[in-house]
Amino acid sequence: MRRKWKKWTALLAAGMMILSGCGQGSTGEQNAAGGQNAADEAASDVSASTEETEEKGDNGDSAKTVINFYYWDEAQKAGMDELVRLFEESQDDIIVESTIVPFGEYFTKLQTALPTGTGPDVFWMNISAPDYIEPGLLLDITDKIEEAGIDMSKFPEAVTGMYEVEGRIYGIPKDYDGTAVYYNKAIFDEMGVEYPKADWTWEDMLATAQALTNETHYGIVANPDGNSGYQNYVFQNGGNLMDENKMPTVNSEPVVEAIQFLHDLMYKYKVSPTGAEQLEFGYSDMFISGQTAMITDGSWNVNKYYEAMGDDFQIAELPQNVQKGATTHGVAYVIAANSSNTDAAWEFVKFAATKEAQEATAKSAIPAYEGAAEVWKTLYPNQDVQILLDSVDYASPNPRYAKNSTEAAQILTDTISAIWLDENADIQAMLDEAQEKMLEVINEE
Amino acid sequence: MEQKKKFVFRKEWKWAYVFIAPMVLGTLIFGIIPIFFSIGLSLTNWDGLGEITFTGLDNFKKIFTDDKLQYEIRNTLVYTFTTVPITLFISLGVSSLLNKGLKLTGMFRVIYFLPNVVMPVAVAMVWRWLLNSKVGIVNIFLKAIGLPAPNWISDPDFILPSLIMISVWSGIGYNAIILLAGLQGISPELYEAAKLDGANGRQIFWRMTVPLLTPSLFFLSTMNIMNGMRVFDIVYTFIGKADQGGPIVDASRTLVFGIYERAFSFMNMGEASAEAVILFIMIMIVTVVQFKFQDKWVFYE
Repeated sequence: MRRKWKKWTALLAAGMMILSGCGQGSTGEQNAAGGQNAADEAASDVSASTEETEEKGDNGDSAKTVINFYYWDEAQKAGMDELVRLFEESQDDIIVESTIVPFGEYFTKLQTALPTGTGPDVFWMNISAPDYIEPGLLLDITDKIEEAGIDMSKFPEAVTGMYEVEGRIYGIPKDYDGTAVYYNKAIFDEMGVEYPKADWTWEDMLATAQALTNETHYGIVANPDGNSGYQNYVFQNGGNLMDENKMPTVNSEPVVEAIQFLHDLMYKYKVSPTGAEQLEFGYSDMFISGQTAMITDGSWNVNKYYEAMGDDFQIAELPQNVQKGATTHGVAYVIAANSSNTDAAWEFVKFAATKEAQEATAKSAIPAYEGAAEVWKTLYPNQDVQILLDSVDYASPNPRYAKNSTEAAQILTDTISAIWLDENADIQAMLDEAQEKMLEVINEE
Repeated sequence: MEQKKKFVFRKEWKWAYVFIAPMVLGTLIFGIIPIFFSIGLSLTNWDGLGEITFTGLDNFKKIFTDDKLQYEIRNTLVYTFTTVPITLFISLGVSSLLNKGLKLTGMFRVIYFLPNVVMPVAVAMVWRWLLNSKVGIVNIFLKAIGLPAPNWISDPDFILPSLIMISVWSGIGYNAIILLAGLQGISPELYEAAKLDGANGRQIFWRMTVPLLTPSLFFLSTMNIMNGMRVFDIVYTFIGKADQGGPIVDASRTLVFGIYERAFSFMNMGEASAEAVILFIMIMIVTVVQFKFQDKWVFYE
């Protein structure tokens, strides 16, 4: 839901971008007009509006190359500033000018800036990478990686895979996330229930949830989100939402069984809030406020729960059924294909791929480089965050369908929401219909 | 002599152009040009990044077979043509009460206007809690007086009525203030004359006050209908933020919600533009009809 809300601001942002674009255009014109006064005015305008010019002016060194670096997370500014500082100290030729573009505007901004060559040289990318690789907007860095001798096996395979198309590599992993069961220790203690153990199963989880359920709280919340919710159960049941050709398999047996299990938690065993209750209260808020004792969620929310609940917030492994299963996802540094400074940009990305640089950025996200996560772990001394790191070993990535992926995924989201709200849902029939509609959207011209 | 006159005339013209330039340029750049660009885009396939390819009427064919467009048109029309009359009716009552010159009128005027200055996001957030089926004050009240307490925000049948209720609530203030201004513009002599002729209160209100208010009512209904057809913020903040899809969203999605989703979630600028063109035509038809029938019921003094 955070995603959607943020997207809404993109509408505003688009308007603002046009405005700011016009502003730049007019100062440019003044400059070109050539009058000394006009040029001075324009210069003062520009230096007032961007840090970049100021820096250039201070150094007065035209030999230095400036590269632009975009990312979206304000919360990670400290880490990114540290990365840029370390990089600038390590060499004398390149200056990095970083800009935070809020997530809601990020991809709209890239879409307007990249094709016209006015965008960043280096920037963060997420699962939408294929949308940018296909039109040739990202630089193929396969040969550069080989030349520089970067060992890609130091990064989680699930993340490197997201930025690889037909054997060509387009991104250096920055961070990754894992999924786990989070539980409220206070409720377990109150009910005298044993904490979840490693290698526990769906049956163990159901029994635990039943023991924790009473009039004031539920045992677990079966959340309808893919990444943090049902998709993990699908993986645990030996299934997947798509096949190796990236075509949907949402009506396959393992998927239907996993969804049925979650539906049963709500309506048969009544150990989870119903879809309607989750909608009204928010599943994440229900966990924070102690209305439910357990939730499945991702590492990106560890800080939120930790701040709200302190050490009552604890972490357990996801339950297994046919096998262990979890979801992972990771951000990468990528380079714009039409950047005029691809060499300088690569120098920066190459630096960001080192363990030293990855450790420097560990403050709020799990760094992708093997072993660099130790720094992140120290932030949560009383939580077993290692479980989240380990979950990546058996995790699968989010689905990214062959074509029109967002639209296809929305069909599944719609269907899941309908199943969650309907006590008597015919799950097989509804997923059959979703499968058919998804194929239609994906096969569309 | 004549030449000089001409010269002055031209100079004034030049300045006139300078003065209207910001407005004209603004309208051109942000209004007129995007409209034509959008109409053009509606005939193409474009993801916002890659090549723009001409596809003729394919976008229209596709979205007309899409269930979601049917929901969007139905919800938009139901929303607009219930919200607008209810809001106007209640606002008329409120404004005539405010016009009575009772004690504390000033305070009530402020209270009624308050919802209008609150951000739609805040309105949506607060109402989500007021309408919560378990702990919301609305249902606690309904239960207390023995009425059925529906699931306002988690039942597809009630989500649109909930939205209409909130919109009416937040629209009354603005409408009542405009109508109040209209009421205060009616000359007291007319009332005196009517009373002398023996008209009773109801007659005065329906035969005199309301007809004299029709210019304000016409203005408000035109603006409200246009705004209603373009409703987005309240739907998005009330539903889109909490629910990612499914029956609740389908029962409340509006045309602009659909345009937004097609353009910025699915990156399908062509389809989004096609839907925008449909909305444009719908608003145009409604507005033309309103202006056509204006003579039949609007009285200008």
